[in-house]
Amino acid sequence: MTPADMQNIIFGLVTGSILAIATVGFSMIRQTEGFINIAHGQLLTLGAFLGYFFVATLEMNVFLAGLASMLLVGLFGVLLSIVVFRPVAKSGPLAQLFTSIGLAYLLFGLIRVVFGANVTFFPTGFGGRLDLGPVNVTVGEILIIVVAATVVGLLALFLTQTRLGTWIRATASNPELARLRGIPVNRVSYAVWFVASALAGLAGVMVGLIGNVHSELGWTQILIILAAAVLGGLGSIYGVLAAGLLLGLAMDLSALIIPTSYRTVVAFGVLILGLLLRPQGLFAAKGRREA
Amino acid sequence: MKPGLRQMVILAVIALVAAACGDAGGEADTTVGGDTTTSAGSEATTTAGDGATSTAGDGEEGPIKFGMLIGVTGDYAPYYDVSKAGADVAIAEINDAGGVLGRQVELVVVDNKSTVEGAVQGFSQIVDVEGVHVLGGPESDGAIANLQAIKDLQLPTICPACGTSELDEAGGDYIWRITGSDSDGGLIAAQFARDAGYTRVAMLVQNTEGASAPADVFKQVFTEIIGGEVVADVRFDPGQSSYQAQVDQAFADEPEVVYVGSGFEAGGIILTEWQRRGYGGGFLFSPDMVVPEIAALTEQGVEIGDGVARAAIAAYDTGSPAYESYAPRYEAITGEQPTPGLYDANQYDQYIILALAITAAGTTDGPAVAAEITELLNPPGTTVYSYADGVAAIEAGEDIDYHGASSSLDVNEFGNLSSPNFGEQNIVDGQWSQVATVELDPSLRP
Repeated sequence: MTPADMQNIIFGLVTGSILAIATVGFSMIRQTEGFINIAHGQLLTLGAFLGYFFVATLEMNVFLAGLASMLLVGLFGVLLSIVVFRPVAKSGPLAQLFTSIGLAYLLFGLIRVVFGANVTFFPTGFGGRLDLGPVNVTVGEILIIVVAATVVGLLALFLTQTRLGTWIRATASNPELARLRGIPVNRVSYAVWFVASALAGLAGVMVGLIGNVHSELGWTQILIILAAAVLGGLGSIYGVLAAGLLLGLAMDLSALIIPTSYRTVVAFGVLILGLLLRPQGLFAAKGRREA
Repeated sequence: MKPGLRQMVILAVIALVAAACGDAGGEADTTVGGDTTTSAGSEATTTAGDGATSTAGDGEEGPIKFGMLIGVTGDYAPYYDVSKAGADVAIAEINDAGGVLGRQVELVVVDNKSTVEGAVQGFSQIVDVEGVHVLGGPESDGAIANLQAIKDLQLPTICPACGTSELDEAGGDYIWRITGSDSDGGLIAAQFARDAGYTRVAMLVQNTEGASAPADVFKQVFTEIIGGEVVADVRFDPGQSSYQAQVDQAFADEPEVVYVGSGFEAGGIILTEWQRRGYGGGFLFSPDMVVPEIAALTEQGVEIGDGVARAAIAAYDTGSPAYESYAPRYEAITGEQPTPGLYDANQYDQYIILALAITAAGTTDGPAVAAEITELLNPPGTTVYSYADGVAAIEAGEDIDYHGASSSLDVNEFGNLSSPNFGEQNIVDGQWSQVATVELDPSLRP
């Protein structure tokens, strides 16, 4: 393995970590609410702008800004579920899907009105560069990978070790049975919306930190998120995590052999290849339910 | 829908369509001797001699009509007021000097709505209805949309603010461009690289027409004419959250400098990633990077100030007597200094050129006027810096070489500036600042 290979693996891990965080939330909504939420990308944009606002305007520490953004976007997600998605839930997942598309455009417009259409950059450093033999990594990149791994670990603990987490898994597995067994599905729904939206907010802050903050962010991210979710199996959180990392690595490693302008093409090429070889997704054991 | 409501909607739609149609036929602003009036276009177009529309309608009497087809509304609207101010300075100067061929000059402004469709509609109005003798003002889209019609109608036209590379070899007969081409952005960057003694350069270029065209010119000139080596040519799509892999590729072979042809959205990410990893070296930026957002990155620790990043954008020839005469008159109208990026001095120059060409031709006939334009912009001839001096020289039987407020205005056989002026831009104290004026070396043209 050449130094360039190893360097691109580091880039891929950073890209994949952020993609995994963004996709887990997307997949949770799909699994428990039963539809594909296209507005998830706009929640990511909202998180990025809120994080930027906290850091640039309120001069907040970047970690506190990330937490505050997660909290606010999480609460906003719950509000959306109550005001927008619950009223159309009876009409089925297709109606919810189209509602989410409309909501995405609405949020996109509102974000531009509130935060403007200009591109901005986080006024924060990214730490120094650490040379590790033939490769190098920055402190900020290590923190992104560590934060992503920590969040995923906490999420796994939450889903497996808490009663609410168990209810979520039960509802995701069979909503009707969960309702019949007395699981408070409304509470489960609120929890899922909060966690999923908060993760989108965190991913938005991370994307803003490594790149920039602009109103188109959600549109550029949602297709890759969708690819990672489908590749991972839609129903499997671990599959989605693996798919996010895999796509991140594939996109950055591809730069070694083909022009980097084909980065996005590579992501969807991997998706198609993955679906041809394993149609149910990387980690899904059964056939997927259609949304 | 209730019938009443449906009828109201139909009526509203009809009203909107009618309003739109009415607007398309619109009004034109006219300026005579510096006063602006408004008149509805009603004058009929006549065809002269060989079929060319030239002295539309008015024979040898009445004012000579100078057309200005420009974006009064739409995307280019922010440029309109300063453009009009530059044009007004010229029209007033011409009329104060006795007009052209003893006739006053009237400026006819038609809005092209900053769209291709608007440019085509506006061209029809300004030629067929208003009957202008010469034309100025169009931006790139409008000039290209009407290029064939301009040639067919033999209408002398000057493009004061067209960057499009499609005009690189399309003019010189009935259309001239008196600003630098987008391609010149690549040329001047190659000139910077040559003058700095760089021999190994990498490129980071966005996959868009506006960025790729000058980058290709840069590469061709730097490798084929200057003899340098491009050690990496990395192209990328805009809209990504990270360009780390691309930046790493560009710096892998330790180039002396990296040419960045990009919009500032991607460019800003590239620079922050460059700073994080401490690649070092320097940058040559395309003009799109010369924006406050990029300069502001220095306040966030991105060390591209003090000549680390260099760029060139269009500049006026501030030492020219024409500029020294023009600037205070422009400032009296706008309260602002002339601004190269707004092309106000180019708007001024175009009408002085057209007035001198008609004077030299002794007629408003299109082919005769067009035949004079390249002649009066290039040596040999008496150098003149104003309309009055030009007329005096022409009446004395001399050839003239007009030097304008924007540049020396020498043009090549395709009607493009041979050596447009550029201002070298560096970031100083968190802002882009012009540190030198540079004339493009015509020997570098491929």
